Order: sequence, then structure tokens, then C-alpha cells
Amino acid sequence: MTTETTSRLLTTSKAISEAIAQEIERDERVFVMGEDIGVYGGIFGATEGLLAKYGPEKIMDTPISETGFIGAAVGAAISGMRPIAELMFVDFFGVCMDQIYNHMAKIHYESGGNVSVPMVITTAMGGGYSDGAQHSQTLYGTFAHLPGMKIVIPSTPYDAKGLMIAAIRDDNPVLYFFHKGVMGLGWMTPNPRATGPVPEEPYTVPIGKADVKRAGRDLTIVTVSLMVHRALDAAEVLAAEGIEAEVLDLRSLVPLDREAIAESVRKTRRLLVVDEDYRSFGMSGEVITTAIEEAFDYLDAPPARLAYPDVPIPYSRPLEQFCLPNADTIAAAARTLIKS
Amino acid sequence: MAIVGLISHSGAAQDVRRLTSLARKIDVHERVNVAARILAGLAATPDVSVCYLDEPTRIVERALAMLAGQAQGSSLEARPVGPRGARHAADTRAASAALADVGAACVVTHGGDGTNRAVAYGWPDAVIVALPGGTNNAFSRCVDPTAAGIAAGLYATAPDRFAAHVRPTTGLSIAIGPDAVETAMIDVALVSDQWLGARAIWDPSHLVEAVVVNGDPSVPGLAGVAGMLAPGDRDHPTAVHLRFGSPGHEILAPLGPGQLVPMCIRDCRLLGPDEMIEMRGPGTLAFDGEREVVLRDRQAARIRLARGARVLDVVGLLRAHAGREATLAIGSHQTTQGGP
Amino acid sequence: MPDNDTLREMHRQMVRIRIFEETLVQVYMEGKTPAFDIAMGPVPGEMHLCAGQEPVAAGVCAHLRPTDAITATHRPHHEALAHGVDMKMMAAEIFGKETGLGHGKGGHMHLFSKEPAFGCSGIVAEGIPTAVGHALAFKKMGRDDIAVSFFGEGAANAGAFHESLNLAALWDLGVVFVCEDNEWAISVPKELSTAIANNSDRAAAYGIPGVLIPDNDPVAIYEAAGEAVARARRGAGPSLIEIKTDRLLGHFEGDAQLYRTKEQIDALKERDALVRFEGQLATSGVLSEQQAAEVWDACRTEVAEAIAFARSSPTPAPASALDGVFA
Repeated sequence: MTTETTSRLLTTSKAISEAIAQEIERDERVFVMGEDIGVYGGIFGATEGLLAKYGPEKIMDTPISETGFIGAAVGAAISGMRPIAELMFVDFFGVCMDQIYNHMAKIHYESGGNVSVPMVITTAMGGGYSDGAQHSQTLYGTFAHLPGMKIVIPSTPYDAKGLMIAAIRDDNPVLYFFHKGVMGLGWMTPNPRATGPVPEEPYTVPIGKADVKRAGRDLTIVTVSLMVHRALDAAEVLAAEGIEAEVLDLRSLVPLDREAIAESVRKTRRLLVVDEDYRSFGMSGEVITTAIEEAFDYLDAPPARLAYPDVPIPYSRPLEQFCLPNADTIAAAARTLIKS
Repeated sequence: MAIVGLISHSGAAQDVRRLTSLARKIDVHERVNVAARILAGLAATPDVSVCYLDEPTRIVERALAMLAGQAQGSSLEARPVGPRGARHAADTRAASAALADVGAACVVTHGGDGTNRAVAYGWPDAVIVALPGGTNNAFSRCVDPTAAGIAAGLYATAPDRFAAHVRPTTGLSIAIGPDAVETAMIDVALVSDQWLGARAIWDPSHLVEAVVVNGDPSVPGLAGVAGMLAPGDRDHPTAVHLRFGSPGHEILAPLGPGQLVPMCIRDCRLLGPDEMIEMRGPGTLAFDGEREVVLRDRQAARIRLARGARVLDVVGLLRAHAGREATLAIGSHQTTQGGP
Repeated sequence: MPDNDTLREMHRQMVRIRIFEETLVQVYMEGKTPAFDIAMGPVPGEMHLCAGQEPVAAGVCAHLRPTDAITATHRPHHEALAHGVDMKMMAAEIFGKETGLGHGKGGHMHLFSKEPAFGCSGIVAEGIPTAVGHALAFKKMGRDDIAVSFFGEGAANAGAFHESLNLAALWDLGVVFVCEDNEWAISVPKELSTAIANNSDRAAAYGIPGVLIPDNDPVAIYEAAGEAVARARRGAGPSLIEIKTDRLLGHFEGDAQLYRTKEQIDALKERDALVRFEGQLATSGVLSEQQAAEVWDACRTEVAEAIAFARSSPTPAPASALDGVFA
């Protein structure tokens, strides 16, 4: 468990904008591009207050031209800048994926290491508030599948600031996913876990290192982002029933902390993966396979997963809520796993 | 059936002067629009058909389609003439000669001075209605395209009646060697260096000498330079022999659209009607602002005033016609003299 | 207008590029006969050669510094060589050798060099936004280096082209966009793919100057490119140059070219710009036939040495495929 020794509380979105601000002040090569990231402060608040502090040269509102400005970020990074480009919703990746996976992610390798692309793409993901099939996806499994880009997904304000600073300082392309439900936005369903202690000074959280958010001995719940919050809620309920769940927050998908998964499974011997991304061919399958490859002999039960079904995300509230894992369904899945 | 020629192509107003001066671009849509408006005017006179230059951007075909789509619906017989897919000046010359062969009464052009030069070369006796559609438009006159079409149609059906509105012009003939004779509508310039390159002239330091007929201080290019020094007009053309370089008379001259540059005129002399000027290489001869013929060392070109192309005075014709009678086929009442 | 030294250097670049491409025509086919197998031979995979298009590279790159950034396409050899990318390392990369620009990881469509600054992409039009990014970086750094984006007439119909011109115009960036119109997007001719007459017309949609160079003339290209580069360097913003050039060979090596006739291909050879330019250089006394022959000999030697270097270089260790994903 990461020690948080400060009482200073920030929302996740404030933690992200603070991280970017501190890096802009430290390194003049850092700048931000994206749609509505300037005056608006980012649709989900990731760049709030930055335009007023640093001006339009550093905080650049772009036209609706994802291929254009994400491709420009690639070129600017190759030429020595350290751009942060925001893809407003990860769902929009379809209009610019070539620049992301064929260019940003591959140029360093294709050049035999001669050319680096030190850039960050920030993007909002996730649903649960009826934004429909094209604005509610998580999609990290799709990106994690493709080589050449690091992927970080913070669940807490503390991790959000540390991972953002680490991402900016990393010489590689990093995709930084933030779930809209963890940002602590006033216009979304209140989430007490979206606010937390954040030290004022700059610090990093290592990319590629998972974090045990709650130690336990009876089962391991592996997940990311908002589902970490749901798993922690479920763990409190289970604790009252005498089931101690360990919640492992992966924090990064690329590199994946396979050792942390294995270590936890060796300890608890039961694995439940919770995944807000589509069930098939994604994160949940990768985590389970990792457990089998690294800790098969330790498993007392077949690993289980609770993932979003393989359907486009429906709009109507009861339909969407049916599909999303929540604290109740996580606790139920845990009980089933314990009994098996 | 009276025949009117129509020559418009997408090669004019495209060259390097878009970078070296404020020369505008005329894109294909504008060319189609102007051609359609000319055709609308031609369609006003019964028994007029059109023979047009066949070129890869299909301006006239598109203009015919545009015309057919008009609410008032006009139809016009039209067919291509000359080489298919015309791309170069030689093709325009051949198409112009073909217009003479089919017995066209006149030809409407939408291009620059180079286009008109090619038309006149191919058909020296042509009666030209020249609309400005190039970079420097010293030869053409600004008139509404539909008015030009109406005038051309009227002229074609009654050339004797409207003969008074055909005006002669004076041009230049350039003899290079025993056989080759070139023509120019406005000017011949000798520039240093022996390369056609990007054709246009934009650096006054390359100019050695020039003969300019039809100088006009209100147009850009060498015609404007000569016009500033020795103004003449269509009815009283003056020809001027200029020599460039210092020591000399410093002027600020419009070498290209919006491009006022200092030029040093060493010598400026009015030419008599029979006078011949000899220019010698090494250098390149430019006709009407475009480099065309490389002169090797000591190679001579002999320049004289010559009978130029004939132009139709659209404004004068329409005024005279309006005074006599006004019957237009499209969208108007019959009006007879004497009032209601 | 280029001075005589520049004319001779442009000629030399065109010659060395032509010899390199013609050599690759032979080398590429090694190991692939009698029945064409794309995977075999010392140069496996696809090969897109630029013979005929040399004037574009020679005319534009004559104005560039090593710190000016170029992005190019799947047909990159002329721009890479004219910009000063090392021929030996380029050949070695094409042969997939350890000594190549990318240690064998990139291949002929993914040639990258830090200095001179050069990159290319096999995805049509997707290198254009990268050039915009280089110019954006230079502007932010206060450098008067510029970016040049080379792309074909087919790319001008892709979204990335339009987004890039808009961005460069909006942010006033020093990019020169060069459209190499060789008329063919593989087998589809321009009149069947493009709604407007000339791609240089499209510049007007973004409020930037667009120039058409209607023939494949290195001096005309040099003059126009000089104006565009000077404009970009002095902070006057982007421009678009469209050049009608000639692709003498097929889209790729092995292309049967069933979409164009032998007469069409022969007509291209008749107007070979390199031959024409050499003739003009001789007539104007800039480069005699004898001197031209010496240039050809020297370039043949250079290419032969580069190919020999590539052939004799070691192949990368197979397991090195797993390295170098991240810095």
C-alpha cells in the first residue's frame, strides 16, 4: 500500500492538472494540445486552470483534427519537444488510430532506436452515466494489445499525479487513461474515492508497477480504475462476512506487472478479475493467463472474471447498469469463488 | 450555324508567382463558373454553336452540365476541337488553328496573356474576346462573362453588321534564326541565365532589356513598367525599348500582382513603327512574362512591331445593339422601340 | 535561378538516385525467380522505386539544411538520398542488415535518420501531420529550420492531408507541402480519383499559396521550391507545390502494370527528365558530355560500394527482434 503522508486533498482531475502544471514549469519543452483543453479546461477537467497560468503557446486548443494534431505531436516529439495530446474520449480513437499505433508506437523501433517519440496521449474513458455506445468505452485492452506504447490507468488522485509526471518524463509514448468516474467532477455521480491525499511537491509513481490497494488473504481481485473503487466497496462488505479480499490495482497495463499478479495469487490462491472493458480478447484474459502461466500450482480454484459483456454499451440506465460490474456483483462473484 | 470558339484551361494562374507575388489562384470551380456564364450568354442567340478546347480538367463539359441544370434551361450545341487532353501551349495553338478550319467567327478566351498569345499564333486572323483568367492580364479586358458570350454570339451570327466593333491591336514579332518566328501580345524581355525554369520573371535583377508594346500603367508586369514611363493605349499604341541596370532611373514598379519592386531603368526609348531591335544571347527570351526561348552565346533575335490579334469590343457592340434593337431569347420580354 | 555549381550538384544527385534505383531493380529480383516469391532474396518484401521522380528531390532538397525535417512516403529513396541520408546505411537497412539505419527493424518504407532529419511512412498521407509537428516544434524552439512533407497525388484525397494543411495554415507553420503527382495511385489515374483539376488548387481552401509545376523540370522545381522554403524560413507560413512528375517503373517492383499501356510507358521514357537535363547542361556549357560521364562513373562506384557494404554486413541476431521497443 502506498503511504500517503499528507492531509492535502485533491480530486483526481485537480491532481492531473497540477502534475501537468509542475512539469510545464520544470521543462519548457512540455506543452498540451487538444480539443477544448484551453478555456474549457478539458471536458473532464484534466487541464483546468492551465491556460490562464501558462497561456495559449503552452495550452493549445486545436481544431477537430485528431489525425492532424496527434500526428503533429509525433513530429514535435521527434524534434525534441515533449507534447501532451488529449484525445477527448478514447472512443474517438477510430479517427486517428493510425497515428497512434502505426506511427507514435512504432517509429522508435523502426528506427532501430535512433529516434524517440517522448509524448503522452491523455484520454477519458468509461461509462455508467448513460453516454451511450460511442462515448462510454474503456478500450484499454485494444491499445494494450499493440506493441510500442506504455499504458497507465490511475485510480486515485495520488497515483494520477505521480503517473502523469512519470509519463511526461518517460522518453517513450505513454497512453494515460483517466476514467470520467474517478475524476471527482461536480456534474457526475458523487464518488468519495475520487478525492484523496496528494503531496504538493512533484513526485513520480513508477510505470509498470501494480499496487495493492487493500491487503487480503482469501482472494485477489485484480482490476484498474473505477473498478478499483467498486472492488474496495465490495471488499468492505465481504470483510463483514469474514472474507478478506486483496485488491490489486494494476495501475499500468503496459508494462504489465505480472510478478505482482503472480505474487498475490500465490498468497491468496483465488483470482477474480474485474474488467470494465469488453470481456473477450482483453485485459481479463491476459491477467488470468498470467496467473496460470506464473502461479498455476497455487490456484485452488479456476480463475474467474467479471467483465463487461461483448455488447455495444446500451443507453437506457437499467440496461447499462445491468452490464457494468458493481460492488454487489463483485461481492457475489467473490463469494462464488470462495465457495468453489 | 454560326460557330464561336471557347478556350479555357486550368494551366493559367498556377505558377510560381503565387509565391513571389500576391498573384491569386483561379481554381477549376471558378473557371467552370466563368465558362458557364459565357455559355449562358452564347445560348441567348439562336443558331450559335460552340467549339471548345478539350483539356484534362473538362472545364467546358462541367460548365455545360451546370448550364443544363439551370432552372430556365438552355441548351447549346457544343463539341471539342483540336487535340484531345490539351496540356501545353502547342495544343492551344493547334486548337486555335482548328477553330479557323471549322470557320469559327470569333473565339472567347479565359486565360492569361500566354493563352491569348497561343490563340493568336494558331489563328492570326482570330477575333478574340479575352476575359482575364491568368496572372498578368494585360491583353484582356474585364467584362462580365455573360455579356462577353452575348456579344460573341451576336457577332458570330452577323459579323458584317458588327464589323465596326472589331479592333486591331499591335503586337510583336520575334525572328530567331532564319525560320523561327514567334509572336508576343505585349512584351519581349531578355533575361540573364539560360534556363526556362519556372517560366515567370520575378527578380528584376535578371532583366537585361525589353521591348514593350501596349504599355499601360494600370496593369502589372512589364506593360505596367512601360506604361509608367511612356503611357499609350490600344488606339494609339506605343512601343518602348527598355534597358535595365544601373546607372539609371530608379522606379518602383509592379513586376507582379501586388509585387512592387525597385527597378533601375538605364534607357527608355520610343520605337518607330518600322524599327527593329536586336537582342543577343547568352540569355533567355521571355514573351508576355514567361521565359520561352534560350538564346545561346551571340545568337540573335530580331524584334519588330507587327499586326497583332483582333479583339472584339464587347461594351461597344452591346451598347450599339441595345440602341438598335434588343431581343434576347432567354428570360425577357420582347421590347420594341417607341415604348409602351 | 541556380548557379552552375548547384546545377551540377542537382545533376549528380539525380544520377546517383537513378543508379541506386536501377541497381535495386536487379538486386530486388535476386532470389525471387523463377516464380516470383516476395518473401525471398536479399531484399524481401515490397519495393517502391522512384526512377523518373529524381527532379523533385534534387530541386527541393538543394535548399535544405540537415536540420530541416523531411517526411516522405513508401517511395522515399530520392528524398532520403538528396537530403544526405548515408547511402551505405540506407542500403544496409533495405537489405535488413544490422548496420542499417534501423538495424534491420524498419526496412525500405521506414527509413529514419536523426541528422539529416528524415522519416518516412508506408501509410499514405500519414507522414504529413508529422511534418506539421516538426514545424510546430521548430517554431516553439525559435529555430528557423523548416519541415518539408512529400506525398503523392493519391494522398491529397486522404483526411490527413486536409487536416495538416488546415493546422499548418491556422498556426502559421513553416511547412512546405510537396505533392508529387506521378499520375498513378498504384493503378488508379488521377482523373478517376480527384474531384478537382490540380491539387495545388486545394491550397486556396486553406488560404495558403499553391503553385503548379506542370513538368518534371529540375530547374523549375528548384526555383519554386526556393521561394517556398524562403517563405517558410522567414515565418511567412506554409505553401503547397504540386509537381507533375513521372514514375518510370511500376508502383512496386513486380508490378505488371496492366493498367497502363506500353505506349504510355514508352512516352515517359521519351521525356526522361534526367536525359533532358543532361542535354541542357551540355548545351549551356555547364557540364560537358565527358564531365557527365565522369559523374555517372563516380556514382556507379558509390552505389556499388553501398550495395557491397549492405551485402557484406551482418544480419541482426534473430532475438534482437525483441529489443528496442522502448527507449
